[in-house]
Amino acid sequence: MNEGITPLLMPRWGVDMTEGKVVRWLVGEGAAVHANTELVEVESEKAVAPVEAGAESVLRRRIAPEGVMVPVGGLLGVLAPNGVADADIEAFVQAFAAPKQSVAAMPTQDETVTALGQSLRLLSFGAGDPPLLLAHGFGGDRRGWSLVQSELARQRRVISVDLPGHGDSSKTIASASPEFFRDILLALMDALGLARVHLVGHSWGGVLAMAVAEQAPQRVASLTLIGTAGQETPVEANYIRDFLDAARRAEVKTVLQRLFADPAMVSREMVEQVLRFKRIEAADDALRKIAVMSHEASRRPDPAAAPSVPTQIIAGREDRICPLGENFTPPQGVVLHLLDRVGHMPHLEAPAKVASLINAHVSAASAP
Amino acid sequence: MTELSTPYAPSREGLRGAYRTMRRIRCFEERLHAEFAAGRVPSSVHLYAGQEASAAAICAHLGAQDYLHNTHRAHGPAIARGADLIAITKEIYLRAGGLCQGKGGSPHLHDARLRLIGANGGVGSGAALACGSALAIRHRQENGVAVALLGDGACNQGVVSESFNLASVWKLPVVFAIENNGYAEATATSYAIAGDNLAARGPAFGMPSTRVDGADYFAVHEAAGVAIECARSGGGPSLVEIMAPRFYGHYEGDAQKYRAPGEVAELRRTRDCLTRLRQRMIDEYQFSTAEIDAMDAEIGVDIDRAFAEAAAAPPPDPALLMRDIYADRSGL
Amino acid sequence: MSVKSYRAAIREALEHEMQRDPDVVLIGQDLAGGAGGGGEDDAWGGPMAVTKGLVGKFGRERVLDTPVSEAASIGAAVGAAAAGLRPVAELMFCDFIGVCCDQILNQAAKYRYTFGGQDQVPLTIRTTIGAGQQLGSQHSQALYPLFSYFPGLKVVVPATAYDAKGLLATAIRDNDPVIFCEHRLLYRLREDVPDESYTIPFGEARIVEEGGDVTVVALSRMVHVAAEAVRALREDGIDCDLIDPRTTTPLDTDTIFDSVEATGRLVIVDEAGPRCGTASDIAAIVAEEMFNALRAPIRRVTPPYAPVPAAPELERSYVPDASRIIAAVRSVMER
Ligand SMILES: Cc1ncc(C[n+]2csc(CCOP(=O)(O)OP(=O)(O)O)c2C)c(N)n1
Ligand SMILES: [Mg+2]
Repeated sequence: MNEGITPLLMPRWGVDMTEGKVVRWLVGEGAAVHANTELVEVESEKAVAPVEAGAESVLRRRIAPEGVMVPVGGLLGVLAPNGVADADIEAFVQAFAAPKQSVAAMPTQDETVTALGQSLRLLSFGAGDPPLLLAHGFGGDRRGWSLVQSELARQRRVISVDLPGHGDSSKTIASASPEFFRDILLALMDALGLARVHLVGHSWGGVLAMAVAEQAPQRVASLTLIGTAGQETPVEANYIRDFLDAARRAEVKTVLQRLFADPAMVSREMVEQVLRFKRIEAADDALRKIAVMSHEASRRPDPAAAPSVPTQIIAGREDRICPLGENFTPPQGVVLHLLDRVGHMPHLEAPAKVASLINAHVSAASAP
Repeated sequence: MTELSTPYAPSREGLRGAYRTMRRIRCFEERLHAEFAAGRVPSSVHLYAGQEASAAAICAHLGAQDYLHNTHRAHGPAIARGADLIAITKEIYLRAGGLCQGKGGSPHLHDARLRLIGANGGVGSGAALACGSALAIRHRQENGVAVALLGDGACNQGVVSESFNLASVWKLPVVFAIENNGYAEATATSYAIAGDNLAARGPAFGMPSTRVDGADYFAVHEAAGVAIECARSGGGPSLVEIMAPRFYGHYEGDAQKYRAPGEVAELRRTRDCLTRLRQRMIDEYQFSTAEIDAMDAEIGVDIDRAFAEAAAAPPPDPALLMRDIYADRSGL
Repeated sequence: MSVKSYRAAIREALEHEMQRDPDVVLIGQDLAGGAGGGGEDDAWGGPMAVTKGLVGKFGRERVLDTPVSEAASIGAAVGAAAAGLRPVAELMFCDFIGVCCDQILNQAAKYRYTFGGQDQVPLTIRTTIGAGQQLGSQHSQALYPLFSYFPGLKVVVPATAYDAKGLLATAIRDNDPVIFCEHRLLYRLREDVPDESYTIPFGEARIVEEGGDVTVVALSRMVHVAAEAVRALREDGIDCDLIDPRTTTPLDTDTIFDSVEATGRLVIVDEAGPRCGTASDIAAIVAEEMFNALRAPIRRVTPPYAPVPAAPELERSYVPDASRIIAAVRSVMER
């Protein structure tokens, strides 16, 4: 019954080939072919090359669609002279052991948008506008919000962004000034079509959030500042320098431990993640420029100044990086939440508390 | 370059043997090509198709006292030297009963009984080993020769030049048979061989040297005969460069994009040693088509059987992992 | 950041370094392929397709295909490095080191020292290692201990795509000869790797897992096999530190010492052989420096003292697998 039927199989090009991708078919079904007629183009890790017919025949069926991966020995098509009945070919195909499916790509909620010429990576969760927009601190990235993000997303959409120079966004930054980063946040809102957001900023991200609120108060529904330095509360002078200079695992670990009330919070993964980021030359370059500019920025917004939008401050009592001075009193209308046994990273050290404070603040600000 | 020539006046029996060998190699390689493509052959294999006249003609001159040093393109010379087809196939399939018990594989086909020496990982090392075989032959006064098969690419190894010199200095009974198939992997000889003429290297080392058309069995037979006879009769080493096309890729799975479109088809059409021999047997030696077809059929049966047996053979005995590391285990 | 194979990560490091420094040149067999032929240029892009596309970007002046002449081409790379270039030479299989030993072990390794420190040899030799493809005794070895024997050489054995990219950039910028050992079975390994250029310092191990009961040190592909064993052991309540030294010269003994200090138990997993190998080396150093911290004998998990056989069944019993690592860890836990 299979007289004259020849399977066209995924070839094996070299010892380490286990599967190949069907790039495109070069002849149509029903075409008469010669031994060296090129039938289909296949891509392996090493090369893209055509598969030849191998004998004179007719291409009766194209089985593997373009773009799919097929294991070596898997059925690409069927060759048979015109005399062979379609039913016989169908039976042959049915009898052929089906090739294994290759692993599909993991779905992801990450997306990339472009703002002011910089490519920005964001992660969005949940639904409901105006959304929360989370801005990380110096040297951080969107993943730093992982412990609060899903809790926040119960009520509304939450968007965390990698600022330029950070995470998976452009590492080469167009400018290092706080004004540039402020404009990036505004441009991002434009790109996403967001008229208003609830802004949350951590540390340096808080400085940027304040700048946005100052520049465009109508676009900021509420403001939450976490571990953010003000004029009265300068960043610990050596921290930035030590963070930049730490090159090896042990050094990075020691520096990161200064961020937390409990040094044991610094995990191996956290150290590895920071190291991986800092090793990227363009990122290191960006960080150094940002550090200089932030230091030089003479007119830094101050959380103590009277706010134009509903504002709350969350800070750790044991924050050694941006300590709120003994005498710090928030201005009129601003609520200060000082958390015990928490350092500079409240959203990692007391995530449940921070999430509930943000949710409450956002709800209050949204109330008519 | 010395002109080497002794007219070849083959017997019908001689031609029958030559055709059988070449046809057997061709069928074997074509079958292996298909088996590999279907994912049924382990490891990596280099096919000899197109170069059959070289191994067949050289081996026609070799006796039991002679050594043949193989290359990684090993199946053809192993078949020509008379190694057991089933044991060859089992070795390529890395099964029990293989020529090297499944421990070597395709490039290392070796049969000590036949003085067929397997190729080594580093190409070209056979040139030096052949000098050693020749030394032993001379020492034992065996009246034998050692033939080193070498690829064109392998000739760019320092050891090959050193071996040319050593063989000549010691006047060893060695024949360096260079199988120039135009390529080393994906690089053409016109790029990698300065002067693009390996035969020209012989005289530089004081060796007679010649270049022959590897598609012409008669020519290779003559040239190899002269060189081997010279070595056997105490005349020292010589070099034969055999220009033989390679019909498949460097190894199986090679997409061969470095070759011109249609190059292989053209070579198969114009420089196929097997069809040429067949035609000449019919035209000049009164073989009938039926006679040759009968040989083909017989060979087909042998090949089918070798592959069937290899596919059905068990894996090697696990104890082999630790066996034959040393010949003498005292003190270990 | 995007998902890349170990192969692509290495290619990217080569490309970045070639862009960064015009003195970086590539030397090897069929790095492009197709020279002198009637077909396509860059037909192979390297015997393992690692250098694919580079000749198109940088031209044949900087991607130099060689004849099959390792002694001459690796030797030329040493000479070029000493003369101020930054060559990356490829030795297709580490097993072929035999034909160019003098160039690597005598010339490259000792050039600076012998001539009283007047010169430096900023050379990288990329080579491939490892069993698992049924290529037999002369195409399957993991010869990096040989390189680490020689002072003057630095030796890198990356286990992941991320490490391969960063360590290759470091190797190329390093001012000494570096042997960069790519495991052929890892070429298809895929993971997230930054698109940007980055470097990873030599002599800093990666801590793959933190456990506290037993220290497991593994190299190259064995890191993945050991990780499988460590996962299985965790289900049985045994928590291991898993350390990948990443470079065998320099060797990050500090990270190993810190871990052994806490665990008192050490198992070393190496695809190189049991004699005069990396596992023996690390075992000796730890035994000498940390004797008082040890609570059990050090165990090495390596292939047997045998060449690599070709047959898949024999080869599988040659290469260490997770079950042997699990047994070794259990045995040190019993003490
Ligand atoms: C010393 C050494 N370098 C590189 C290789 C990899 N290699 C295997 S076969 C081959 C090509 C050899 O070409 P040639 O000698 O012409 O033989 P052919 O394959 O054409 O028969 C190469 C470079 C090797 N085996 N040994
Ligand atoms: Mg060749």
